[in-house]
Amino acid sequence: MVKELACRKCKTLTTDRICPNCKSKDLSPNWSGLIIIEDIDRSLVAKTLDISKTGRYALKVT
Amino acid sequence: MSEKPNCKIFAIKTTGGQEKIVANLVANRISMRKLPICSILVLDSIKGYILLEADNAQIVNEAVSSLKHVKGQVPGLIQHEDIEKFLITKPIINELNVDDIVEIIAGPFKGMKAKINRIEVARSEATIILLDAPYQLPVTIDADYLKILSHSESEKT
Repeated sequence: MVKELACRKCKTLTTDRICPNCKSKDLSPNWSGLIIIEDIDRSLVAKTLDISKTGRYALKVT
Repeated sequence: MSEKPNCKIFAIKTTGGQEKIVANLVANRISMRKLPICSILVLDSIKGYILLEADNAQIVNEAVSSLKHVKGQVPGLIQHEDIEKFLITKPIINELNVDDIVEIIAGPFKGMKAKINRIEVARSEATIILLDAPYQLPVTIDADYLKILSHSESEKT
Protein backbone atom coordinates (compact mmCIF):
# COMPACT_ATOMS: atom_id res chain seq x y z
CA MET A 1 0.00 0.00 0.00
CA VAL A 2 1.30 3.47 -0.91
CA LYS A 3 2.15 5.48 2.17
CA GLU A 4 0.23 8.71 2.58
CA LEU A 5 2.11 11.95 3.16
CA ALA A 6 0.74 14.96 5.03
CA CYS A 7 1.18 18.55 3.88
CA ARG A 8 2.94 20.59 6.57
CA LYS A 9 0.98 23.71 5.58
CA CYS A 10 -2.64 22.56 5.26
CA LYS A 11 -2.39 19.00 6.75
CA THR A 12 -4.03 17.42 3.69
CA LEU A 13 -3.13 13.76 3.16
CA THR A 14 -1.94 12.72 -0.27
CA THR A 15 -0.05 9.95 -2.01
CA ASP A 16 1.40 12.38 -4.58
CA ARG A 17 4.61 14.38 -4.26
CA ILE A 18 2.67 17.66 -4.28
CA CYS A 19 -0.23 18.74 -2.07
CA PRO A 20 -3.49 18.70 -4.09
CA ASN A 21 -4.95 21.43 -1.85
CA CYS A 22 -2.25 24.14 -1.54
CA LYS A 23 0.26 22.85 -4.15
CA SER A 24 3.01 22.81 -1.51
CA LYS A 25 5.88 20.34 -1.84
CA ASP A 26 6.56 20.38 1.92
CA LEU A 27 5.12 16.95 2.71
CA SER A 28 5.88 14.77 5.73
CA PRO A 29 5.55 11.03 6.32
CA ASN A 30 5.33 11.70 10.09
CA TRP A 31 1.72 12.49 10.90
CA SER A 32 -0.87 11.36 13.42
CA GLY A 33 -4.63 11.47 13.78
CA LEU A 34 -6.97 11.12 10.80
CA ILE A 35 -9.94 13.27 9.87
CA ILE A 36 -12.11 12.46 6.87
CA ILE A 37 -14.48 15.33 6.11
CA GLU A 38 -17.52 14.41 4.00
CA ASP A 39 -19.94 17.31 4.60
CA ILE A 40 -18.15 20.61 5.07
CA ASP A 41 -21.24 22.71 5.86
CA ARG A 42 -22.57 20.66 8.77
CA SER A 43 -19.39 19.25 10.31
CA LEU A 44 -18.50 20.88 13.63
CA VAL A 45 -15.01 19.38 13.46
CA ALA A 46 -14.36 21.06 10.10
CA LYS A 47 -15.48 24.38 11.57
CA THR A 48 -13.25 23.93 14.64
CA LEU A 49 -10.22 23.15 12.49
CA ASP A 50 -11.05 25.79 9.81
CA ILE A 51 -11.21 23.18 7.06
CA SER A 52 -12.95 24.47 3.94
CA LYS A 53 -12.70 21.47 1.58
CA THR A 54 -13.81 17.88 1.92
CA GLY A 55 -11.10 15.25 2.01
CA ARG A 56 -8.59 13.48 4.22
CA TYR A 57 -6.56 15.42 6.76
CA ALA A 58 -3.97 14.67 9.44
CA LEU A 59 -4.44 16.13 12.90
CA LYS A 60 -0.77 16.61 13.72
CA VAL A 61 2.11 16.83 11.26
CA THR A 62 5.73 16.75 12.45
CA MET B 1 -33.92 29.75 4.17
CA SER B 2 -33.24 27.83 7.37
CA GLU B 3 -29.72 26.59 8.06
CA LYS B 4 -29.11 22.85 8.28
CA PRO B 5 -28.46 21.59 11.84
CA ASN B 6 -24.96 20.53 12.82
CA CYS B 7 -24.12 16.83 13.03
CA LYS B 8 -23.92 14.93 16.32
CA ILE B 9 -20.86 12.94 17.36
CA PHE B 10 -21.04 9.17 17.93
CA ALA B 11 -18.28 6.82 19.11
CA ILE B 12 -17.55 3.41 17.62
CA LYS B 13 -15.48 0.81 19.47
CA THR B 14 -12.87 -0.88 17.30
CA THR B 15 -10.02 -3.32 17.70
CA GLY B 16 -7.02 -1.48 19.18
CA GLY B 17 -4.59 -0.28 16.54
CA GLN B 18 -7.03 -0.79 13.65
CA GLU B 19 -8.76 2.61 13.92
CA LYS B 20 -7.41 4.02 10.62
CA ILE B 21 -8.34 0.84 8.74
CA VAL B 22 -11.90 1.03 10.11
CA ALA B 23 -12.08 4.74 9.20
CA ASN B 24 -11.07 3.92 5.61
CA LEU B 25 -13.65 1.11 5.43
CA VAL B 26 -16.36 3.44 6.75
CA ALA B 27 -15.33 6.15 4.25
CA ASN B 28 -15.62 3.63 1.40
CA ARG B 29 -19.07 2.55 2.58
CA ILE B 30 -20.24 6.17 2.92
CA SER B 31 -19.27 6.94 -0.67
CA MET B 32 -20.80 3.69 -1.97
CA ARG B 33 -24.13 4.00 -0.14
CA LYS B 34 -24.20 7.83 -0.15
CA LEU B 35 -24.77 7.95 3.62
CA PRO B 36 -25.24 11.41 5.18
CA ILE B 37 -22.21 11.30 7.48
CA CYS B 38 -20.37 14.58 8.05
CA SER B 39 -16.95 13.36 9.13
CA ILE B 40 -14.87 10.49 10.52
CA LEU B 41 -12.31 11.12 13.22
CA VAL B 42 -9.41 8.98 14.41
CA LEU B 43 -7.71 10.53 17.43
CA ASP B 44 -4.46 9.00 18.63
CA SER B 45 -5.30 10.00 22.19
CA ILE B 46 -8.50 7.90 22.12
CA LYS B 47 -7.27 4.38 21.42
CA GLY B 48 -9.73 1.72 20.31
CA TYR B 49 -12.43 4.17 19.21
CA ILE B 50 -13.29 6.19 16.13
CA LEU B 51 -15.75 9.08 16.10
CA LEU B 52 -18.42 9.67 13.48
CA GLU B 53 -20.36 12.86 12.91
CA ALA B 54 -23.89 12.06 11.74
CA ASP B 55 -27.53 13.06 12.20
CA ASN B 56 -28.61 9.98 14.14
CA ALA B 57 -27.48 6.60 15.47
CA GLN B 58 -29.26 4.65 12.72
CA ILE B 59 -27.05 6.17 10.02
CA VAL B 60 -23.96 5.41 12.10
CA ASN B 61 -25.16 1.83 12.59
CA GLU B 62 -25.65 1.41 8.86
CA ALA B 63 -22.16 2.81 8.19
CA VAL B 64 -20.36 0.42 10.54
CA SER B 65 -22.56 -2.70 10.68
CA SER B 66 -20.72 -5.97 9.96
CA LEU B 67 -17.45 -4.19 9.18
CA LYS B 68 -14.22 -5.92 10.12
CA HIS B 69 -12.56 -4.72 13.39
CA VAL B 70 -15.77 -2.97 14.57
CA LYS B 71 -16.72 -4.12 18.08
CA GLY B 72 -19.84 -2.04 18.52
CA GLN B 73 -21.45 1.32 18.86
CA VAL B 74 -21.12 3.29 22.08
CA PRO B 75 -24.59 4.35 23.28
CA GLY B 76 -25.21 8.06 23.64
CA LEU B 77 -23.62 11.14 22.18
CA ILE B 78 -20.17 12.66 22.57
CA GLN B 79 -20.18 16.39 23.32
CA HIS B 80 -18.17 18.53 20.93
CA GLU B 81 -16.56 20.33 23.89
CA ASP B 82 -15.14 17.00 25.10
CA ILE B 83 -13.17 16.35 21.91
CA GLU B 84 -12.25 19.97 21.21
CA LYS B 85 -9.13 19.74 23.37
CA PHE B 86 -7.86 16.84 21.24
CA LEU B 87 -8.44 18.74 17.99
CA ILE B 88 -6.72 22.00 18.83
CA THR B 89 -3.04 21.33 19.36
CA LYS B 90 -0.84 23.85 21.07
CA PRO B 91 1.99 25.34 18.96
CA ILE B 92 5.29 23.62 19.77
CA ILE B 93 7.00 26.96 20.50
CA ASN B 94 5.14 27.15 23.83
CA GLU B 95 6.55 23.79 24.90
CA LEU B 96 10.18 24.62 24.12
CA ASN B 97 12.63 25.77 26.79
CA VAL B 98 16.25 26.90 26.66
CA ASP B 99 18.71 23.96 26.96
CA ASP B 100 16.13 21.39 25.76
CA ILE B 101 17.52 18.71 23.46
CA VAL B 102 15.63 18.63 20.16
CA GLU B 103 15.76 16.80 16.85
CA ILE B 104 15.47 18.69 13.58
CA ILE B 105 12.79 17.00 11.48
CA ALA B 106 12.99 18.98 8.25
CA GLY B 107 15.32 21.13 6.19
CA PRO B 108 19.05 20.72 5.44
CA PHE B 109 19.85 19.68 9.03
CA LYS B 110 17.12 17.00 9.12
CA GLY B 111 17.89 14.18 11.55
CA MET B 112 20.49 16.14 13.54
CA LYS B 113 20.24 16.69 17.27
CA ALA B 114 20.57 20.13 18.78
CA LYS B 115 20.34 22.12 22.00
CA ILE B 116 18.11 25.19 22.23
CA ASN B 117 20.04 28.40 22.80
CA ARG B 118 17.36 31.08 22.40
CA ILE B 119 13.61 31.15 21.67
CA GLU B 120 11.76 33.88 19.74
CA VAL B 121 8.10 33.24 20.50
CA ALA B 122 6.77 36.10 18.36
CA ARG B 123 8.43 34.78 15.20
CA SER B 124 7.97 31.12 16.19
CA GLU B 125 11.70 30.56 15.77
CA ALA B 126 14.41 29.02 17.91
CA THR B 127 18.18 29.43 17.77
CA ILE B 128 19.79 26.06 18.28
CA ILE B 129 23.32 24.71 18.60
CA LEU B 130 23.92 21.56 16.59
CA LEU B 131 25.29 18.76 18.76
CA ASP B 132 26.49 16.66 15.84
CA ALA B 133 28.69 19.45 14.46
CA PRO B 134 32.38 19.39 15.50
CA TYR B 135 32.24 23.05 16.54
CA GLN B 136 29.48 25.29 17.98
CA LEU B 137 27.19 26.22 15.11
CA PRO B 138 24.17 28.34 16.03
CA VAL B 139 21.29 28.04 13.57
CA THR B 140 17.94 29.85 13.67
CA ILE B 141 15.15 27.52 12.63
CA ASP B 142 11.33 27.46 12.59
CA ALA B 143 9.96 25.85 15.76
CA ASP B 144 7.66 23.61 13.70
CA TYR B 145 10.75 21.82 12.39
CA LEU B 146 11.81 20.77 15.90
CA LYS B 147 10.83 17.72 17.91
CA ILE B 148 11.54 17.66 21.65
CA LEU B 149 13.73 14.72 22.68
CA SER B 150 14.34 15.67 26.32
CA HIS B 151 13.67 18.66 28.51
CA SER B 152 16.46 20.56 30.27
CA GLU B 153 17.47 19.58 33.82
CA SER B 154 16.12 22.85 35.28
CA GLU B 155 12.70 22.11 33.72
CA LYS B 156 12.57 18.60 35.21
CA THR B 157 13.22 19.77 38.81
